[in-house]
Amino acid sequence: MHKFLRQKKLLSKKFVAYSIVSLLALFSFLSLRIGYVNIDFFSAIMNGISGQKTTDTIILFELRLPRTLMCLIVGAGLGLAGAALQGYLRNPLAEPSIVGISSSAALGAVLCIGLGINTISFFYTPIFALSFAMVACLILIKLTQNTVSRHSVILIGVGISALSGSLTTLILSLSDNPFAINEIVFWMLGSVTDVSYFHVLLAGPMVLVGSVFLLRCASDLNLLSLGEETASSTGVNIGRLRLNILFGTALIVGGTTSVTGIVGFVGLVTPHMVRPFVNYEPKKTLIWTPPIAALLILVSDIAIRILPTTGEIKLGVLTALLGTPFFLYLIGQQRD
Amino acid sequence: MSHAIITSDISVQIQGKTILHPTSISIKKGENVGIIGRNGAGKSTFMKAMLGLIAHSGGSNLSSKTLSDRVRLASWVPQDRELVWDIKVETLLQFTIEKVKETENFKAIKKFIDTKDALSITGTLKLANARIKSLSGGELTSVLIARALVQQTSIIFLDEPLASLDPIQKRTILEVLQEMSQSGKTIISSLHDIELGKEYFSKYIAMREGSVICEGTPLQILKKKQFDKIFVEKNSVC
Repeated sequence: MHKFLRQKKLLSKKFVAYSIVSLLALFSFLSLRIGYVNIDFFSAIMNGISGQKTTDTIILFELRLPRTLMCLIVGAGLGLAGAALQGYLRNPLAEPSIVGISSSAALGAVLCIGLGINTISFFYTPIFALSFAMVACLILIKLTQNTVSRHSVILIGVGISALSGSLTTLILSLSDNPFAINEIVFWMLGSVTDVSYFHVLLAGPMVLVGSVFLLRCASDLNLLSLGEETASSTGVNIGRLRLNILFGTALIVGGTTSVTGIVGFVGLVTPHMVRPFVNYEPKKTLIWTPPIAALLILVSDIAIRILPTTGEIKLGVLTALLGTPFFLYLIGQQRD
Repeated sequence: MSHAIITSDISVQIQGKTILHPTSISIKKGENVGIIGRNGAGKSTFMKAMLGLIAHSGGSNLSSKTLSDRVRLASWVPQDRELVWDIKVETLLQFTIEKVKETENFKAIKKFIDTKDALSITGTLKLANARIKSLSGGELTSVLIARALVQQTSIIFLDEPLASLDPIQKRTILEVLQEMSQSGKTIISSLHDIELGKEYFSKYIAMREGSVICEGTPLQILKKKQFDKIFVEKNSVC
């Protein structure tokens, strides 16, 4: 299909870039329009601009706009982290939630809240999430240094996820919190409901800085497709590459998870969607994945609001529902 | 004739175990050297240490240089040929060109080899647009040698380039290596096919249990007495 489109010159770089940007704009607009309450969209915008506070402006500017922004941040960030991990580990099954970085970040956040440290300053929650994500990332990098098989990378992730998942549950169960079960569900299955500008300002800069780290790896990931030794023999500084991956992934996953909980599989699925269109090149995959992943999360979050369910489905539930079958399909494709 | 490689007491320890005992050898420019020995003799480790790819004590004239200088001097053809991403052959070579163009002394190269030249030297020009996962073992090895060629280095290390190839493919690769050494490149390659290789290599370096035990022309090494010392007898010295 894409071959046909390319032949017809319909897939020129510019055209694709414009289409993605237009789609992002279109769905951002829809994300602002669609919700449980019908608002008079345009008068809300006018009122908002002129500084009047009506119910509609509050819904639009204080509920829907930060939620939309958060979808873009979470999608782009986790998509980028997924593409970077797949490139670095040379493993099409890798992704922050599968290799255990997300659940470790969630554990950090829950520990911070459980110990009451977040009451000292809100900034401690993302800092804890970041630190724990970094530890998980470090373990992963250390254990995969002497090239292990593809499936063992996933098993390492299963180990880290199981450990941090049970510790998260333990902390929440032990805490004097009547809403412990709700909390567990929130952290395990992420959601962008009820995010505020504060959250956007917390996660946004972390994702941005993390993205700089990861995008700096782009060319090195191309060379890494022949393995670490060959990459090193062509001038890739493997030590520096690892540090970039470590900090970049931890910043993005720590930043987003501390605000939204674990949103899995977007980092797994999106690079695979992008690859056939960029000739499977790791660098191009890294660059084109974030906008597509942002689009995916945006559409998923709109779907959550449209679906006629009694309670709102969590974003993490929907991404997992869509992502897990694909993950299983990929495992079937592997020849180890 | 000057030397391409000189090692002085280069050795490798991994987790307290000596994988490569202190070794001092020299390899002349333009030589086509085969490193032979049984599995676990330390052939790959020796080559990786010379190239500076793994931690080691002592050193070689290569491993003591900075990363960017090493990139200009020697390239590497890995034994692990598992490629995850199904990229195009030409793209794979292009990655290396893009990277080495960043190195400072790249512009000083007089005879520049581009992707097409490299692929035709290794007889794989017709595969330029093929996807790497569709290649046979022999084709992939040739492509990986072409990739080393576009790095424009005078020395090429190859880690068992003949592994899992059929006899015809082996011969093709050996011919390519011989041609490259005749054109002035220094080739250092580990191998098991010592009989097949004897017509192609100018020198064999034999290793056993992490030490170089003798060097010589393939014919010298393959004499029964020598052969037994390398592959059969224990604790013998040539």
